[in-house]
Amino acid sequence: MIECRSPELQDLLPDYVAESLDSVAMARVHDHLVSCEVCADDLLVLQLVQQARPRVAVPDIARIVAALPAAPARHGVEFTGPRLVRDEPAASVPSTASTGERRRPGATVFGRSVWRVAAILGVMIAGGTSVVVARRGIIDVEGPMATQAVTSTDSVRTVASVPSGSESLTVAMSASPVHGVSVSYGDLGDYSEAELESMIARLDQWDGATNTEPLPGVPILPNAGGGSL
Amino acid sequence: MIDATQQEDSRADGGLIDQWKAGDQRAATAIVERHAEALARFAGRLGVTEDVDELVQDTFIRAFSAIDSFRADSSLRTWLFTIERRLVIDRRRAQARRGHEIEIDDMHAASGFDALDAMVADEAAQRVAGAMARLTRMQREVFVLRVQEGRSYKDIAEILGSTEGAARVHYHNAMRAVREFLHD
Repeated sequence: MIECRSPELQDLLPDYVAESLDSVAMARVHDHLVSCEVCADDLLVLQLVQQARPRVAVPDIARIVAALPAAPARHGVEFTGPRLVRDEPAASVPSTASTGERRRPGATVFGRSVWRVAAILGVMIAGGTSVVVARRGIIDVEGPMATQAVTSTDSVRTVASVPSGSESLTVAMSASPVHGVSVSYGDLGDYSEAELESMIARLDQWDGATNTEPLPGVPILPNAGGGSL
Repeated sequence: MIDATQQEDSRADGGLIDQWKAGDQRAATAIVERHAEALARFAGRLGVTEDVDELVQDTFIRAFSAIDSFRADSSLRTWLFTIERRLVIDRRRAQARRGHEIEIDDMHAASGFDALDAMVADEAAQRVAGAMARLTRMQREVFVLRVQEGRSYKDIAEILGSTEGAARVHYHNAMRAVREFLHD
């Protein structure tokens, strides 16, 4: 069959039948139909198909509208529906402006760092102590777990090698007991911010395995109420 | 450019959507009145014969719930057709999972189109329906959208998740098949 030489106009035939073209396009298609037998034939088919458009019962408009979500609130009217908690503008947290508090720059970060170090140290101390206790039994511990009372005259830390087959265990233990001396891992407030950041960096690299060795950079300081070394 | 009617429709729909967003519930009624019949007709062309009202209602509910995602440069009716078609596909898949033999392959020949015969009156319309029943599903959807719903190839591509070029090819293949059937 012969092909139409103006396919762009042939493409517009459905719009021509539907009379949805502007006047210029309508005129162009009309002129084309006079000379193109293919498109004239297509036009008859399209008119037939257009007329055969099925008639359907109009759906129940009122029922559909009643089921639709409500229109958004008008301007100035508070939306009373549920809100996501994360969308709330932190109303439950008192702002510093309203309370008159002023924060030191970096105070929040520093505070978090202190608590973070304290928590990790607590876990490590508890875990390390439990390993020592499990292997060697309780070694002269006085007071609460947080302050280990290690009695020693000349050094806080004495290394004892315990040969047990091929295994060698190194623990902190007292050489000769002298009562009245207690040490702790110090108050976190004694560290500078740089030292805390350094410890955090090391802790971030920690693989999570239980280690009985104390952190290399953590000094052991005498308690304020303890005796002299 | 050329399709003046669609541009006017888009402007009118855009104005109604803005009114509804501003809190005017009557605008929703106007929108439903403008498009409900076309959606019901398109549902019939997609082979839906049961619960058409429910399908049309679900289409509007989904549309109004996601009205912010509607792009103003697109036609609202095109968007509604897209939503309705997805709902039909979802329904068919759900029915297929429940063990019903439902055709969901777009390229498969049509089988449920005869149900529309009751809706067409005279002999010529019956012949057209017979011709369209021989088209593949994709050809028929493109043909219906182009000829009976007046959608552009761009709109058809958006509704069917295809391309304008593919829509044009399907239209011309469908046109040739219908013409040959009617001339026999």
